[in-house]
Amino acid sequence: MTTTRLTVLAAALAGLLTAPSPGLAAEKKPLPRELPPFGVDRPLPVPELVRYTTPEGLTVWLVPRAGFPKLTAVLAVRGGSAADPRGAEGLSELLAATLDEGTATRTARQIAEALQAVGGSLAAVAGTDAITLTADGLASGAERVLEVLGDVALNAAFPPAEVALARANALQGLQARASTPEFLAEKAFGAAVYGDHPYRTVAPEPAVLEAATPAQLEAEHARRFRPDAALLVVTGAFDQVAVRTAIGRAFGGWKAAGAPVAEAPPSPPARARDLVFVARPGSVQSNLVVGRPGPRLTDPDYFAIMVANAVYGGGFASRLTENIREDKGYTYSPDSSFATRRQGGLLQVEAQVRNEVTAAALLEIFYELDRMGTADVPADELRTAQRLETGLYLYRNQLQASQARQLASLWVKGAPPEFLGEYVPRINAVTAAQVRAAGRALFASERQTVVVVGDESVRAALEQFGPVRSPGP
Amino acid sequence: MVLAVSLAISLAVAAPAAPAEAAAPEVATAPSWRLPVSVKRLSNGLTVVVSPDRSSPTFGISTVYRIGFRLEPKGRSGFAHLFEHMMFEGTPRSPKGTLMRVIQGGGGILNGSTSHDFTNYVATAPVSALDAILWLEADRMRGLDFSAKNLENQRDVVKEEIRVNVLNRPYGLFFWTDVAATAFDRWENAHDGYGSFADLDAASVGEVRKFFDTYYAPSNAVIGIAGDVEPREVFAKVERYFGALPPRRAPARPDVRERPNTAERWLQQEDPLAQVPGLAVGFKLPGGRDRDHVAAAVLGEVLAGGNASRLYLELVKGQELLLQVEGGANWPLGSPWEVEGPTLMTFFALYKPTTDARAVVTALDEVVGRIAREGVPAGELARVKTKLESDLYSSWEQPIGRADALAVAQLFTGDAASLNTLPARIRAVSSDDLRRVASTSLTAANRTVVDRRPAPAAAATPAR
Repeated sequence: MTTTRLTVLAAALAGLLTAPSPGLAAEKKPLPRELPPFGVDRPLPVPELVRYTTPEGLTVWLVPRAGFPKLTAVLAVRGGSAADPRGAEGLSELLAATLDEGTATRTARQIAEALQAVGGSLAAVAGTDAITLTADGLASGAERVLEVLGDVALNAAFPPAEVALARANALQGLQARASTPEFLAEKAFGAAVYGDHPYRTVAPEPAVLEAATPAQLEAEHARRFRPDAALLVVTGAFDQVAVRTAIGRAFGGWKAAGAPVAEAPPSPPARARDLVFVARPGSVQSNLVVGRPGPRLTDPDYFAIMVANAVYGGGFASRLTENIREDKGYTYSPDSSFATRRQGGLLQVEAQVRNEVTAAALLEIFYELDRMGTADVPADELRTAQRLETGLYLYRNQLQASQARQLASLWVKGAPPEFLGEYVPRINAVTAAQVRAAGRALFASERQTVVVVGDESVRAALEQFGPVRSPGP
Repeated sequence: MVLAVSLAISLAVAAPAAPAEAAAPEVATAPSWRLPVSVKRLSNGLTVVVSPDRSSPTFGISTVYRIGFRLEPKGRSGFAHLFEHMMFEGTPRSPKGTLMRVIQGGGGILNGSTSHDFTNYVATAPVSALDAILWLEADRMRGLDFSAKNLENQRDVVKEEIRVNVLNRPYGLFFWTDVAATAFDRWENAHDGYGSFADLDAASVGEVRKFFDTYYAPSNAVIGIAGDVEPREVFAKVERYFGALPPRRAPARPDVRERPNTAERWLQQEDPLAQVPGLAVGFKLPGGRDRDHVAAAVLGEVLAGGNASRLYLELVKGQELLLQVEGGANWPLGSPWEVEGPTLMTFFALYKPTTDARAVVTALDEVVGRIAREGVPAGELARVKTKLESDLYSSWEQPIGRADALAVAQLFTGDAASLNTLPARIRAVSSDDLRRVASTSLTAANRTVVDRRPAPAAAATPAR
């Protein structure tokens, strides 16, 4: 067992110390003279991370916190949708949905009621690289939370009647989802960006669900849920000794069988500009998605990319929001993100705009993308983006559940928990030159995949940006 | 910059009935989580609530004004929300963009939202930004940049928001707007808080200014601050930045009370974007000040609070009529604790094409009727109340949520500390209380149903 000082919060200080400099918006109007300067930040309490491995081989990270009288336990296991068997792509979604539908000794209802009684709940989510189970409850119910989580992880039973209903409902759910523009956009974007790579899967095809059986789910459960390929994170106001005992009891005797899940191949490189149009007759808005694959979380360029993304489209003060929302009123909530998966990252810019400004909005999105690589970000804009990024980080870490999920996510992507503590100083160390280099490497508009979901009438105007194709099979 | 609606059409995957109630799980009891509360009222009528918490050198702030959909002028539907957007567009002293640049540059985040009875402006940041953020809040309480250009720009942004959330989306929030429009009798409660495009287009700069003068008076506002702060120090700062704002009379409040309905109301709709039929059932509730409101919140949780709830276990699982169900008291516009005037207990479900809305309503009626007759067994009631209390604490976990809850409690009751009595009031709800609410409010006569079925595929124009 080792104890690591998580310097997350303490380190955040460095980034948040300074007063708003008079030139914060040098290229805009100066700040009001009467505006009081930022004060001096106070030192932050440093949370402790306790790490150990159980005799079964399960990795455990504990983060005790004071105050808020609840706890969150997250169990991540390797093998998400990218590990689904060929021909059963997207099955993970059904696997996650049926995990809590019964164990060897508990019915679905008993699972739900046991957690309700401690003010908690259980949720399972299938990502691309892992399945994540999150259980929470009042701190006074810590033992129950862990006991139920362990039972589901070790003994999920996939009762045939439950699987049949889940399958039927998932099929209907798929049908309901199919009409949302977001789903259409996501599907077309995944296919265009990833080609044959397993990261292309956004949801199972109906045939996958129709063919799914309890035996298949059991086999996938056995393959993925094993102590040597799992991490348990617990955060909250708990008693460490009691929680360790409860973990020992809940996960005792857990055994691995067979071969573990194989690594997915590296995420593919970006392609030349590709314009995909998905017709949605009668749509009163166009959904625009622009993006491309990028490096992993563990890549040295990661931090510069995060800062570049904050400058480009993070928050209300970003270039994209100022341009297409505040200046032109084209859209309500434009957004850009750089998300990472185990085998690579993904830059994704999204906006929903009214039909008649579809091409105009895309032009501005491209313009702002290309600006990232053509000029240095002014010093004050860079500081604002860094403070925003570090402030968001601090904000997220106020939530015990969010901190637990972030730690689990680091593990899934192959980064150590210390990454949390390094985040703020490394964001603050990013230079304008690095942002510009990231801008050239990742943001250039000529290397982006573009998906537009909208009424047929908006398609013609998109041709000015290059040949427009329909989504592939 | 959003309406306080956040819900996903997440299709819960469900499976068949579980055996009848098994050995009752032991129910956890938590010591109540008490929030320290200090309150001060300035001479201009502005009230400040402070709740210190030294665990992290950050703070959350919520400035709450008593103006929501319910109080906006007739013929100007959507005005409260449009105005909320205008509050981010700059002032004579701090031009457009300053607010975002300073708050985000201070490592903070900000937002605003509009609901029935109030509009709030929230921010959170390291405590080093407290002075700057208080100055900015005072600055926009003093006056805005009432320009035609800003109004035009935000009108466009709001219309895009409506297209995203209503016009271009299956189900288009009908379980809020259309249920309220059908269930309520007074315009104040019934009209669409997003507003009609015609009303939004008709709004003038003069009206924006008048709206500000009327509703954004210091005496019509409460500021909540939670985090690494000392009440005395905050009171002094608030006095410094807000003390000079001239007092204005708080606006008169319209009578918004409603009587229970006397016959079922039923609205049939077609949705060209939906693939699966949906239905929403709303029951009128007297509102947050009613003595049975906490019991109504518990009843909503018994019926629709997650996978251990009755509607889920009986209609999604047992009878397999529904794909999913969600709802409760004051759903979907907030928690039961965020409403003062009349509201609804609403349930929204996607149902299977093999059944119909009448059958679903009948099944719902049976579930409710059983509670009206028999109440709820002690074990189940204890579990549900524990969950509700636990969820309440979750809403207070971050200083920004705590600040907002305290400010809203102060605005509604004049006593922010009353928030600390809520856990005990939840625990005190009895089976008889649930019977009473079920038999007086969740009746067939007081029921409004909106049945929304997929339109034939040929139709191409979204509803509404």
